[in-house]
Amino acid sequence: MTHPLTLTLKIKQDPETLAALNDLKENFAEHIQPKIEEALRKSKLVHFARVVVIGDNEYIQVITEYDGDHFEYTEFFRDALTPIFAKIFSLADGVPDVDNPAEFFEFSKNANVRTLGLSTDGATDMHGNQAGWLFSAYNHAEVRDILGALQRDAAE
Amino acid sequence: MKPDPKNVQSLFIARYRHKFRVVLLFRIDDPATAQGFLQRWAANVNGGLSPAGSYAADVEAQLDPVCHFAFNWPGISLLLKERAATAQGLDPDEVGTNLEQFFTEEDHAPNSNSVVASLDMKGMNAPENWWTAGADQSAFHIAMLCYFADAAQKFQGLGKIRADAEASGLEEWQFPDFDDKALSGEVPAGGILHFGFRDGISKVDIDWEETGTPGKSDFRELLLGYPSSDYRISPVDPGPWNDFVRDGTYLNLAWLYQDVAAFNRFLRDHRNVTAPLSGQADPEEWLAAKMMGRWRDGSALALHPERMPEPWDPSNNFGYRSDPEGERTPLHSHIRVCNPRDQGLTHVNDRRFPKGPPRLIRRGFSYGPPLEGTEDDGKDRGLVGLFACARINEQFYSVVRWIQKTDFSDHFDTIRRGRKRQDMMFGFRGKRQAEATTYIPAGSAGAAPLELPLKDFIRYKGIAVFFAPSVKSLKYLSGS
Ligand code: HEM
Repeated sequence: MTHPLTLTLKIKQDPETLAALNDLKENFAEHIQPKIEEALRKSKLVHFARVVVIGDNEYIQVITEYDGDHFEYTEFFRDALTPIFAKIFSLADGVPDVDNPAEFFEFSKNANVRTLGLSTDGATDMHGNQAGWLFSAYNHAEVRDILGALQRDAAE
Repeated sequence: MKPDPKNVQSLFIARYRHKFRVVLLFRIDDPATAQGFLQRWAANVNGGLSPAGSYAADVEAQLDPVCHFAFNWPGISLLLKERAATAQGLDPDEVGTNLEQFFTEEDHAPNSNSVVASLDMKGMNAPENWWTAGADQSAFHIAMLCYFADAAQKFQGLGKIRADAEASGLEEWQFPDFDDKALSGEVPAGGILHFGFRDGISKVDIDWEETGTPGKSDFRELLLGYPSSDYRISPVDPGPWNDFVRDGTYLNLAWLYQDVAAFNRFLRDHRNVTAPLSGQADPEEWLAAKMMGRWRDGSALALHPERMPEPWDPSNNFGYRSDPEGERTPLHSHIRVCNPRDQGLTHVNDRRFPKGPPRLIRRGFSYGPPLEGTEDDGKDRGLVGLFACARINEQFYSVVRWIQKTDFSDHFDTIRRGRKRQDMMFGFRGKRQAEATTYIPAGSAGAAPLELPLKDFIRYKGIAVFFAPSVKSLKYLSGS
């Protein structure tokens, strides 16, 4: 089952934070993106991922489509991406200590914005209610299913 | 800092010889009088590795009753408030993220929508069917675990406890269908559970001295209060909450119904298809062993793949590394799912569990009359499982999820729909997209693996999460 993550944080507007945001943007391709990419590739859980800043530097979003249970892998992502999350979260108010699993869990749960509509594959959200809509062209096949199929295809 | 076993309630680190076991569930009406009760019953709770009545103590000595205590979060909150613990920095209303949300938050309680969805508690396993129909699921605060030597001692002991509880304003949540009116049962003769398997063999050998000896488990699998970089156990920061929970453990209770007739029918109905593969073993015994990972007598398939040894072999010294395809111990056998030992995990799980797969310290007992044969008699029977660990979500719930969906190891990718399968003994077979069949490699016969349609042999009748404090914190909660 694939779930959408739309982590949305309101960026503080003080000059220091905006400078940090600028720094993040400038360093993203060279220093941040490869680290996220490495962790996500190894995870075999995330289909797509992107980080966007919207409005006039008003919000930062981490958007992914990921497989598996909501509660099973939070600790993996926290641990694998601690410095990255620390950087991104520090742009917002009410920053959790990313070294603290319970704080991280609470914060990421609350910062996730529900998608419109209703899931069609039985997916539930982090509260156990029917999740919002997420279109899947391949019937919610998991990353591992897809990688396996591609591998078999390449071997033929 | 290392734990002192004497401060840990013995229930989790020693094994008692008592045959009769009862879990009494009480609701606190008046915390002050409840503390009076706790002072009388919890003051002398055993701590340490060799309490009186355990196998590690004098096994000839007379067996006196023993009891241990655990509390759910509303229970702990009431008792802390009564102690005016806020002054010590323990304000239950401000616990925030000091403790795991899976313990403190109603939104993540075992019967909450979020946890029910995560654990796939659907169909007959759904909370609507838990406990006693219609009962308020927050009807208790205290779990008092009582161990008795014999029926007479139990009768007398329960009488005394109940009289004092009533006088202390504790309301007991009774279970009318049990003779003892409480979740109760016994260690069956020879440790043989319903379904006929011997239990009590594998043990979590705790590494108290942090020697890192292979085969031993870090004490942080069991105990809170010693967070490290490998074990991010809440609370991660030093402070009063950390001091309060130190040497305590979460006690996860699972009340499980076992459909013995359905299990026996399954074995019998597949006798013929199994016979060509079972070699010298009886086909039904062979199939049962493949599903459990141990022969019914307890001997491990990993050590005795062909047949039950004579006499049985209690050895727990084995792994799965040399059996990546599950030719000896199938990948989906119960003990291999619940403790994959040295089997490689997926990268994410390796990272989550750098010291090896999550461990659970198992206690508990069977209940209900034995049943032989394939006709059900309509009686309730099963197991009250007590699973202790330091992290509810990372350990207990992870294993429950793995039982329902075996996707924790790359090995599952080597077999057809391997990650969509389930523990062969256990699992809600109606789970969406589940591949509810056995997968038992046929071995050297060169035949196709055995894929037989699985049934719901076991179902959940209740899950509750308690915290069993250290001896010291138990005294504190009692008001001493
Ligand atoms: C009615 C339900 C259940 C039955 C009949 C059952 C039966 C057994 C038996 C016979 C063993 C092997 C004995 C041994 O190694 O000492 C075992 C091992 C185990 N079970 Fe269960 N079990 C049940 C439910 C559960 C549940 C719900 C969990 C966890 C959430 C669980 C976790 C384990 C673990 C961790 C082991 C030890 C495996 C090892 O160390 O190799 N069991 N169980």
